[in-house]
Amino acid sequence: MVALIGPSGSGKSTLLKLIAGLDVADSGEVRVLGEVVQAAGRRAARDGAARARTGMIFQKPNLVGRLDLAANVALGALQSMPSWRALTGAWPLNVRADVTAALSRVELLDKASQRASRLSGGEQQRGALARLLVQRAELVLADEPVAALDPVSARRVMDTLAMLNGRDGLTVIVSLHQIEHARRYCPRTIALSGAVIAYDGPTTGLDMARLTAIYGPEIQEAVIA
Amino acid sequence: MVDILVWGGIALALIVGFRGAEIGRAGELISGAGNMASLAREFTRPDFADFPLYARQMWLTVQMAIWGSALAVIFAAPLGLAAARNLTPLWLQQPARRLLDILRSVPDLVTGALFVAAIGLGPLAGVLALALNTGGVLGKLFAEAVEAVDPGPVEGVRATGASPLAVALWGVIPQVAPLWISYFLYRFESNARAATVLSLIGAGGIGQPLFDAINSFAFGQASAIVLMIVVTVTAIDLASQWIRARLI
Repeated sequence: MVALIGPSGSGKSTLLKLIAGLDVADSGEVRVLGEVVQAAGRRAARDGAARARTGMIFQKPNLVGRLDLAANVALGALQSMPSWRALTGAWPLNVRADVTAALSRVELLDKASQRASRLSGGEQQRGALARLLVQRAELVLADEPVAALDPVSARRVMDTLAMLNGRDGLTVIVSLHQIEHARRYCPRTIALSGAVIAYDGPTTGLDMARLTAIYGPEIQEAVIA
Repeated sequence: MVDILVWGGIALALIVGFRGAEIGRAGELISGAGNMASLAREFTRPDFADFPLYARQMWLTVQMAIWGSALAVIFAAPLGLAAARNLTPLWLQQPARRLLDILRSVPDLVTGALFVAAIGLGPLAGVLALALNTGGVLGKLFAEAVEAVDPGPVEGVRATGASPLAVALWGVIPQVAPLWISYFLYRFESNARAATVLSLIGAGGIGQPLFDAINSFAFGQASAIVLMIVVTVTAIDLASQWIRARLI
């Protein structure tokens, strides 16, 4: 589980979107899990396969509000289904079983039949993580997933991410504004500043001098070291 | 600057159109008020002698509107998705938009006449004409609804690696469904009126006895028919309000 930190505008979101294949860079090559996602400003021809192995969640939960939670989670299986099933929503039995298992992993089984728009922000984020489980993602990209949540909900989402990383063996890259979350959950931290890597190493090595180099001198008032 | 151009343009359009639209003759409304009053008096005595015929024809018109609107959705749903700026590449979006423009701008009286030539007189020609025209209107409205969706859920579905069609179906359709249904109901209601006019080209329906009545100066009968149209359209409006309130 890797934390990605840095001031706003330093390129954290852009980097994550490039890895996920949601954005295309002008030049250079992106490889994920050994597969080329994009190279020299073009998406790879078979980027669907790489995208299916990569899952992404955002600051704003992006479940489909009018569908119930179970259907939202089942959408993770779309890419593995024959197209007539994907288009009619005739979820196979194994997908239904996956959905139930994933929802109980994120402790939302009791909310399965509720519309996503009725869930709290934290519940929606955990629902999005359940969707990644059904998708069988191997890499989870989380773009400031807890920035809009209250401290308790934020803790539960971070705990869920840590569980996916520890128990399910998923690689997690999470961009964070709060250094405390990085310290608590992520052994390794990469810091961006002005679109270049300013630090890459153990999170314990992030002392005040390094943070000042990344965020500027005002960080000393913002963080209790 | 832009304000002056816009308001100046509107003023210019009104001045240019003044003569063509014969607005100068508006004064004759007052001098002709007597004639209008005597005609209106005829309309206050609706003649329901032929009620069974009117009811049959009204029902036929509603049936035409039902099928015309339903067939229209078959064109409008895929074209509306294809024409949405936030969903499709230019090579698909532009032809879809142009096709919708054509469907919308050709009057249904013309398409109706074409269908009458092909399959003869009768309601089906009217239904097909309504379907094409309504398809063009609904397609544009559908596309605008799609352009206004929240991109987050769409990106979320796309990020699972789903195919573009599956993304549209699961990320977009649930978001636009209430609006699409609302637009559909509104067009269905206006089609019940438009289908009346289509009787002119021999499509049948309530328009037929209406024009017969007006042409033979049987204003009592015309009045009865107009009342039935008003009641029917109002009933459809109430029904669609009820449906809308339950769907959104």
